[in-house]
Amino acid sequence: MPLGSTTNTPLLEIKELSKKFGGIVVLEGLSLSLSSQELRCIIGPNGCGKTTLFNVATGALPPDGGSVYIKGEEVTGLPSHEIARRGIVRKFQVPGIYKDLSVVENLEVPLNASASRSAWKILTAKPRHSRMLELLDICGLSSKATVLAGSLSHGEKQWLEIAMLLASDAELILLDEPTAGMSILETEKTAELINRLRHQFNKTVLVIEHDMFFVRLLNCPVMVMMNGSILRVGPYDEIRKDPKVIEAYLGRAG
Amino acid sequence: MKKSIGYISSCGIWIALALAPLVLDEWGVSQFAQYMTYGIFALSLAFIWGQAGILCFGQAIFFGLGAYLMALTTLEKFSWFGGSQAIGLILAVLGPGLAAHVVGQLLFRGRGLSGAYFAIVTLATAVIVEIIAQHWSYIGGFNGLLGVPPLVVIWREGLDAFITPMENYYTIFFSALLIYLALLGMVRSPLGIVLATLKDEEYRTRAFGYNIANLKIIAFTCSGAVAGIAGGLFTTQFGFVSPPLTGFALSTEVLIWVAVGGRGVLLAAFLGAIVVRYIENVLSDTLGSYWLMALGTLFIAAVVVAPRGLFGKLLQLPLPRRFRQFVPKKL
Ligand SMILES: Nc1ncnc2c1ncn2[C@@H]1O[C@H](COP(=O)(O)OP(=O)(O)O)[C@@H](O)[C@H]1O
Ligand SMILES: [Mg+2]
Repeated sequence: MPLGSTTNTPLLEIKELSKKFGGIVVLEGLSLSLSSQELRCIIGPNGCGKTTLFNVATGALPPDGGSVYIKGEEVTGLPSHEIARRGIVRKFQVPGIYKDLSVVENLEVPLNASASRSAWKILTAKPRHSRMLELLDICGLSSKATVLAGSLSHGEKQWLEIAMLLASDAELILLDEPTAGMSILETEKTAELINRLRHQFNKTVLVIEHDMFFVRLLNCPVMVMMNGSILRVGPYDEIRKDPKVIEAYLGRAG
Repeated sequence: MKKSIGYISSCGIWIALALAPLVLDEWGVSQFAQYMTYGIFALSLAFIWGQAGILCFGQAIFFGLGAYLMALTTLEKFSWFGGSQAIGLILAVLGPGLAAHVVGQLLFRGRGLSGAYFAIVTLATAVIVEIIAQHWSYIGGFNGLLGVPPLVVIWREGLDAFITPMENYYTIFFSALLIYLALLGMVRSPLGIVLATLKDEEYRTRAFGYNIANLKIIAFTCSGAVAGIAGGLFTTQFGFVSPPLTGFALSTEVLIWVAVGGRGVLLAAFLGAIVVRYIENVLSDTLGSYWLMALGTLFIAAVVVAPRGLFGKLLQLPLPRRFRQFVPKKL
């Protein structure tokens, strides 16, 4: 068992977060908290600020108000690499892979992230062959290990990026629309992969998703985001029946 | 395992350079030593531009600084060093390295300047540095410093001590080879891969916990030091330094060599410098001012049509050894 304090302290806690772009309020008093080894999903209509939430939580954008805590430590306003070093990594909505590098090189960068404090340590980092083999297997790219990442299919790019997040050893993984542009079969494989992150690798995972089919596959608590904050939290089936949610989101989606 | 074309051609080029004095006359030997010196300068730029995507338009600042430090030391303007060439060369590495570090701190820290802004600021800096050099009489003003002695061989006495063209050639050759291998080792290390991600996807690398500004400053510092040693070696061969060595024109020229040779591959950039300088020497008398036009056209062609340059494809090395075992087996 982990230390007593870590079981009570949420891994990620966001309090009253707000963010405006010009006059447009995108996040308004958004709060959420995520315990270690939870899997959760955020849904919400297009443009409601889901990606912005990730951007602010990871320090890519500064918040206008509110605070972010990782394992009880406030990280609001820290540079994004400092926040990442505290154990939080993300998948970008448009796959954040290195398109001009091979798959193995893509994986090597996060594999050495723990050495990132010192250029000398990065320079002299030892190759970790067995770990690399495992990661290649996880993203299903063993046969394409030396292919340039830019030439992979849409689905493969997403899986590569998820394997890169896993390579980084961060405890908390944020996934921004991991099934965008995927076929049903690929979507099912992705759901399986995310469940492995949670159950086999004991990661804490927060997924932004648009595709209701996928949300159901994940079989986890769902947070509905509306007007810049969390409208409701609950299991998928309950969320589906909530009249407020139907009106706000599902109703429109059909 | 079969050796790759890139590996074989790279070795071939170094062997050819090692053997070149066999077929060159004394004048040719000294010419090629100078071309290789420019080659070292080109390596310094290819390292940051080709690897990390840092487009520096003021690379001559560091080359010129190295040249001036070497000249000032050996001409005993810094009297407390007693004209020592060894100290001159050390200063030609440390001074420009430090200067690049300071420039890097100023330009990469905080939000950081990127892309075109970085290029413009470094260009403007080169112009300013050149003007300062022109008006600073301690370092010779417009005329620069003349009579910089060639390297001496420490175990020989008197006039015999001065290096022969052949000895000079191999001094430059081994300096170039050593610098190339050091930079190549860096480029192919895990650090080199991380630097390569800064070209287009630094946001991704930052989100893994890497401090992008620090990495760029380190790369830029190394680059400045290499440009500086090239400048230091340059001045012992040409016998003078002057303000244009620090300025805009030379900064642009090195960009052209690197682009024409192939910025993505260190040896391609090195070869680019040698080939362009060689052709220039052969053709500039016949072509006269058309030479600049020809060079400009070649540059545009390299950037637009062949971004890998003349030699980038030929000299492309295979993946570093640590990745070889992941190459899928052909059925
Ligand atoms: N960097 C930015 N600058 C200005 N406006 C932005 C920026 N990022 C997002 N927005 C705006 O904020 C709103 C929410 O965007 P986003 O967070 O991407 O929504 P979602 O991911 O839920 O689709 C949109 O109206 C978008 O145009
Ligand atoms: Mg989005």
